[in-house]
Amino acid sequence: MTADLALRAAEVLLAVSVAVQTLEHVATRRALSPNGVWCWSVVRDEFAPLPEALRRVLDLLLDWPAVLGLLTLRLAAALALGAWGGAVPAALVFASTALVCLRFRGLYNGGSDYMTVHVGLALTVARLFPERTFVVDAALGWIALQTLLSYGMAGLAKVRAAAWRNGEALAAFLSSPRYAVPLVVRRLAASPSLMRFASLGVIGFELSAALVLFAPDAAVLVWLGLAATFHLLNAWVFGLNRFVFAWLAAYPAVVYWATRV
Amino acid sequence: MLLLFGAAFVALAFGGRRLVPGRAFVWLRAFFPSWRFFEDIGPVPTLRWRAGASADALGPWQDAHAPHARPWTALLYNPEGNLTFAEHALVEHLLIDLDDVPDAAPDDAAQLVSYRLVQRVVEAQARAAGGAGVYQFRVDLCATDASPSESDVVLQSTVHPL
Repeated sequence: MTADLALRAAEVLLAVSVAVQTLEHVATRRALSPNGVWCWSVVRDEFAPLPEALRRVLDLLLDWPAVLGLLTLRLAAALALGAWGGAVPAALVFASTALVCLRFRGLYNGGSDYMTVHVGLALTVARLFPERTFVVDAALGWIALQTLLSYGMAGLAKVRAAAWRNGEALAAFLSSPRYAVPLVVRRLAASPSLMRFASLGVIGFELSAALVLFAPDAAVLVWLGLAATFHLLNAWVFGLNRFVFAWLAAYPAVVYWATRV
Repeated sequence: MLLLFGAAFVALAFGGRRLVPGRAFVWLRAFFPSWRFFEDIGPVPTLRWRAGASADALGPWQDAHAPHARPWTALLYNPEGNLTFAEHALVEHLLIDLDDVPDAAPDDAAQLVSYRLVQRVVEAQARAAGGAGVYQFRVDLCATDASPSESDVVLQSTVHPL
């Protein structure tokens, strides 16, 4: 895969990811309104340590109804990124994503915010210096690094925990009322041997991220297919749909680097 | 690339939060991924509330985030589900903020941004349920898969007017 193709594929996939995220915010915009949970008059106090001039800038961008303008700009930037690509739409996607995170006191959806910010930032840098091969490679490398770290760190944390190794943790999460896990999956969680097998499978898969860069090209594609399936399963089981799109946007960079190493 | 991978792996695994201390870290969390998902199966904060015409006539406690089956479309588009996750995160941040001010009087806690935002979660639900008068909320720590009866109350608000 060429760097140009990797960048373009990442742009299109990031555009889809950010468009979905933004449409979700628009659908739940009541939460940002003066009567909503995240009304700006309360959230603004979070930034009390900042100079008043800076807080006024935030008022202009994040207060109601200006925040609707920010979401509109973010959606337009995502569409432009998908249609044409380039530094300006990438920068707008990155900046508006960071501002939306700020509007929710730092994060809205955890991991998907991390990945969206880092892919957006790297694409912006890559498109700002398209003739600098080193910069483009480094930007794609940063995305690949964060992607492989996301699996590797998660696997490392799990393999350290006895409750994950013996399947108890997975059973507990699948039984948690927080995630509204489908009934068929909750029934499967009642089987300790199945949970242990599934836990070890998840841990093994996540830790195998460290080997992706050494794997043959075909194996890399198979591994990414497994990873995408893993995220789709998480979306079905736990409702984590944003992770699917956010991680897909990072995969072209992994393919690019895996085929170079 | 491989050296970078290794160095970042170690730095993020063992250095993490120390890189950007204080409130700025909270605001800029999106720039500092932890990449640790579903790590802890310790107690989970759960928000509950009750409302009534007066403080002496409060109704039964109810879960603020009772689970609802997701439509199949949530596989790709899940606005209400993600809003609920964000509200869960608010409750978790409230407990973290309370840890930072362990000796805070109840009135001090009520000044926290996270407390006021959680309060608004409850107000919105109480109003949507047709409540009028007053309400109260509490945060319980429940085992990840526990029923409400196995919970511990870690915060109980005063009675607020609705």
